[in-house]
Amino acid sequence: MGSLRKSKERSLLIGLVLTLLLSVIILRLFWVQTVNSDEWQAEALKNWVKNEKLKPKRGTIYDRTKEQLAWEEDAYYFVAAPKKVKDKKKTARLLAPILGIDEKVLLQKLQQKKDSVDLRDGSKFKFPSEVYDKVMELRKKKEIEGIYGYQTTKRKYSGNEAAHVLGFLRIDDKPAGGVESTYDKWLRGKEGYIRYIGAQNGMMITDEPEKNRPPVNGKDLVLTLDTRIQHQVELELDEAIKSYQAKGGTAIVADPKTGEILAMVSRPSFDPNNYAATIDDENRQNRAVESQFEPGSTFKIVTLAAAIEEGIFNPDATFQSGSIQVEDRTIRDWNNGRGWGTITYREGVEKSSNVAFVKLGQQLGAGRLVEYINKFGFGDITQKFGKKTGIDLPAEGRGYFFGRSPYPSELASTAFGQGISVTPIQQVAAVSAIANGGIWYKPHVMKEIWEPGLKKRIQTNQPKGRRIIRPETAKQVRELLRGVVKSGTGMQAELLGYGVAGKTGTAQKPDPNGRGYLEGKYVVSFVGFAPYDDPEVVIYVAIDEPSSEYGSVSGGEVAAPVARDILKKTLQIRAVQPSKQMAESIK
Amino acid sequence: MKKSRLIWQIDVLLLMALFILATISIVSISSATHTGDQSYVEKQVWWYILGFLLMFAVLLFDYKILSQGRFLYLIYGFGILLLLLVWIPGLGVKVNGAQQWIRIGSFQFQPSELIKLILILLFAKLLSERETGKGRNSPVLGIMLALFALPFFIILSQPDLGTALVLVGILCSMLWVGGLDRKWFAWGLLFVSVAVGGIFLLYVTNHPFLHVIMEEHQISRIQTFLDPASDPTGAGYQLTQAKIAIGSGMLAGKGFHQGTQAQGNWIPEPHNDFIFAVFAEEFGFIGGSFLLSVYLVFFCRMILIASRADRRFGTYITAGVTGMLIFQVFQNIGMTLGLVPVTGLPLPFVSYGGSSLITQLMAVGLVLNVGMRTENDLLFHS
Repeated sequence: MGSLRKSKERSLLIGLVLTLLLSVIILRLFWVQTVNSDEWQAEALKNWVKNEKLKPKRGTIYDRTKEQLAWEEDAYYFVAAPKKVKDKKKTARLLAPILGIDEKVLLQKLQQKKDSVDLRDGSKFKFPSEVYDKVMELRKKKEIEGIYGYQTTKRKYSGNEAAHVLGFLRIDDKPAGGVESTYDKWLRGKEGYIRYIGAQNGMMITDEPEKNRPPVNGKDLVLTLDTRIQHQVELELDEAIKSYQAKGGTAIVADPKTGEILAMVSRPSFDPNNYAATIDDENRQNRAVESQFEPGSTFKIVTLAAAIEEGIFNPDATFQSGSIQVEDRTIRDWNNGRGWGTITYREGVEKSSNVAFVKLGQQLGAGRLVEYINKFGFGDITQKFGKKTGIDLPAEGRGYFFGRSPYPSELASTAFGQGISVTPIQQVAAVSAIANGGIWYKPHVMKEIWEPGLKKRIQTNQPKGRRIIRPETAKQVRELLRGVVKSGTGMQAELLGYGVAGKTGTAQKPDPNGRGYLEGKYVVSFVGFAPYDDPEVVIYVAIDEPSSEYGSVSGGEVAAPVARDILKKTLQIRAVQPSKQMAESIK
Repeated sequence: MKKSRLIWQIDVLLLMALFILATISIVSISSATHTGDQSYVEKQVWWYILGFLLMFAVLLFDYKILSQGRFLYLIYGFGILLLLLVWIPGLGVKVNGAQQWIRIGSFQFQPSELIKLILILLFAKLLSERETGKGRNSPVLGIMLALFALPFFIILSQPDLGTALVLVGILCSMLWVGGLDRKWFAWGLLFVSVAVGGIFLLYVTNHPFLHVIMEEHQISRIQTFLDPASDPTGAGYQLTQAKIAIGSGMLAGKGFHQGTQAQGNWIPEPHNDFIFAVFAEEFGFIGGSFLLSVYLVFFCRMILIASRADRRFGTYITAGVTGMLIFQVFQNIGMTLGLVPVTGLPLPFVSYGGSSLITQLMAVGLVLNVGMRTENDLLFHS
C-alpha cells in the first residue's frame, strides 16, 4: 500500500507544479496585458489603423483657346516582392520587352533581398495601361508571380512645343521650370487622406472610414499662349536656326495692349514628355527670359523715345555721320565708319547710325538717359544688376550693368545698345510700351485660373500698367520705326498691307575671357510691331551666332524675315485686317 | 454498485469546467473566423456534440475491463499502422509542412492524436500489472520505453516535434506517478538542462558545431524564439502579431468581435494554434486569467481523481491524461506568450479541430469513468 500512497503523493506534487506553472503564465499575461500593454497597443495601432494619402489630381494647363497643353493621364507602376518571385530569370526575361527595361537591370532588382522593389529604370517607372494589361495577363497565366501593378497618374504634354513656358514634372512629381513651377501651388491641389481600420490584406474592415479628408484637385490654368501662333513661331525659328546653322535662338510674340505673351520659343529645347532623355544644362534654359546679352541697335529705341519725350529730338536736324570721338574712344557707324555724310536724324534712325544716337545720348545727359532706361523697365544702369520684368516664369534674368556711374564713353555706347546686357523679355516689355502708347505692362503667360474642369473662373491676371511716356511720344517713335522697316535696315520685315515697324540689332558677343568682343560671333535680333499706327502684336526674334556662306549675318538679314513670317501668320490668326489704304499705296 | 447511483458519482466540477471551456472555444472560434470562413463555428459545435456523445459512451463501461488480456496491444498495433499510413501517397496529407493527416474521402483525421490515448492506456496497464507481481522495475521500464520509442520517432519524422514532445510528457508524468525512482528524474532533468544550455551556448557563441548537430531551419527557430523581430515575416512575425494582440487587449479586452488583430487577420492560425491570442485580445487579462483558472480547476479535479482512485490502473490513466493535457496547455499558451519556442500544438478543448477534440474528450471520459467508479469508502479506509 506504500506504493499507492506514493502515487497519490506524487499526483499532488503534479498539482503543485501545475499551480506554479500557472502562476508563471498568469504573471506573464499580467505583464504583457497591463504593465507592458501601452507598447503593444501602439504596435496594434500601427497595424490596423491605415493612413492612406489621397493624391489630388493636378490641374490641366490650357492655351487661350482652351486647347489642352498639359494634363494628367492614368498610368501604372509596378512593384515586385522578390521573395514571392520564384523564377527570377524567367520573370526578368518576360518583363523586359514589355516594360522596355533591360533584362539584367530587372534581374538585379528581383534578386534584391527586400520585401518590395520598384520596377524602375531611372525615370522610367510609369507605364501606360497597355503595359499594365500585358503584365496582368502574364500574371493571370501564372507565368509570373510576385509582381504587382498600381495605378497612378502621369503628366502628359501635347507635344514638345512651348516646353520652356510649360516646364515639366520631375520623377518625384516636383515641378521643374515653366508655369508648372510658378503656379505649382494652384496646380498641385491639396493632398487628402483616409484613415481606416485595415486588415492584413489592406481591405477595410468597417465600412465607415475612421476619418477622411478628400483631396482637393488642382486648379486649371488658362495661359495667354495661342497654340496656333506658338506652332508657327516654333516652325519659323527652327527653320532660321537650321538655315543659318545657328547655336540657338529665341522668339517672343506679345500683345502690347495687355502684356500677354502669345508665343514664346527658346532653342535648343527638350521634350517634356521624355525630359529625362532629352534635357541638358544647355536646353533647359528658357532664353526668352533667362539669357542676357548686348541688345545692340534694338536698344536705340529707348534712347530715341527719351529724346523725343524730352523734346530734344528734331527729325529734320542734320549731323555728320561716320564717326564720333568720345573722350579717348572713336565710335563708328556700322558700315566701318564710312557713314552717309551729313544726314538728318530721321535718316540716322532709319540707317541705324550709331553716331546719331551717341549725339542724342549726349544731349540727354547721363541723368536723363539713366532715368529713361530705368523707366522702360531695364533697371538702374549705375547698379550692378538690372530689374526683372516680373514675368510669371522662373529663373528670369535681370540684366547686367556697370555697377557704378558710367564714364561718358560708356554712356555713349549705352545709347546705342553696347556695354550692357539685357534679356529678351525686358526688350519686349519696353517695345510694347512704345506700341501701346506709352504704358509699361508686366509681361505674363497666365491669363486665368479656373476651377478644375474649367467649371468656374476664379482669377484673371491683368497687371496694371504704368505710364512711362506720353502717347504722342510713343506715336512719333512708332512712325520713326516704321521708317526703319519701310526704307531702312529692317526692310526685310515688311509685310504687305500691315505697316510693320521695328528695329534690327546686330550685337557682337562679348569675349567671356576678358574685355573686347568675339570676332564674327553675333547675336542678331529684330524687335518690332504691326500695324504701326495701332499695334496689335509685338514681336521679338533673336538668333545666336548665325553663319552664312554669303557673308552678311545682320539682324536685318536674318531676324527680320523670321519676324515677318511670324507676323504674317499671327496677324491672320488675331484677325487683324490689312489696311486697304496701305495695301493700295504699295501698289 | 447500481448504475443509477453511479451517475451521481460523476465529477460535476470537472464537467462544468469542460462546459465553460467549450463555450470559450465557440466564442473564440467565432471571433477568429468572424471576417473569414464562418463555417468553423458550426463545425466545432458538431465536433463538440460528437465528442460529448463519445465521452458519455466511454462512461458506460467499467474502465477496468480495458486492462484485461491483450486487447490494448492490439489497439496499439492498429495505432502504429495508422501512423504509418500517413506516408502512403493519396492517403496521407501534408498540413503545415508535416505529414500527419490521413484522408479518406472527405473525412480527415490525425492518427498521432489517437496514439496518445493508446499509449496512456497501455502504460497504465503495464505499470499497474507491475504491482500484481510480474516482476521488478527494469523489465517494465524497458517495455514501456520500447512501446514509447516507436510512435515517438515516427511522429518526430513527420516532422511534428510538438506532438512528439507530448508523448514525452505522457511518459514522464506516468513514470512519475508510477513511482519511478526520483534519481532517474534528477538525471533526466540534468540531461535536458545540459542539452538546452549547451545548445544555447553554442548558439550565442555561433559555434560551428551547432551546424553539425542541427539543421539550418532548427537554428533559425532558436533565433526566432530569442528575438522574434529578427524574422518579421515568418514565424517571428506570427509570434509578434500574437503578442501584439494579447498586449493590446489590455485589462478588459476590446470586446467580442472587436479585436482588431483578430478581425484584421493579423493573427496567424487564429482558430487553431494562436486561439489564445484571439481570446486574450477580445477579453483582456480578465478573460485570459479566467480561462487559465478554469484550466486550473479542471486539472485539480483530475489530480484529485487520480489520488482518490482505488485502482492503480485508474490512477495511472488519470495521471497520463492530466500530463498530456497540462503539457499541451502550457506549451500552447507559453508559445503564444513567447515563453517557449513555437511548436504548433492546439490549445486543448479551445482550438478548432476534430481529431484532437474527440481524443481529448474521450480521454476526459476515461478520467470521469475512473472517478465515477472509485469506491468512496476506500479513501477513508486507506
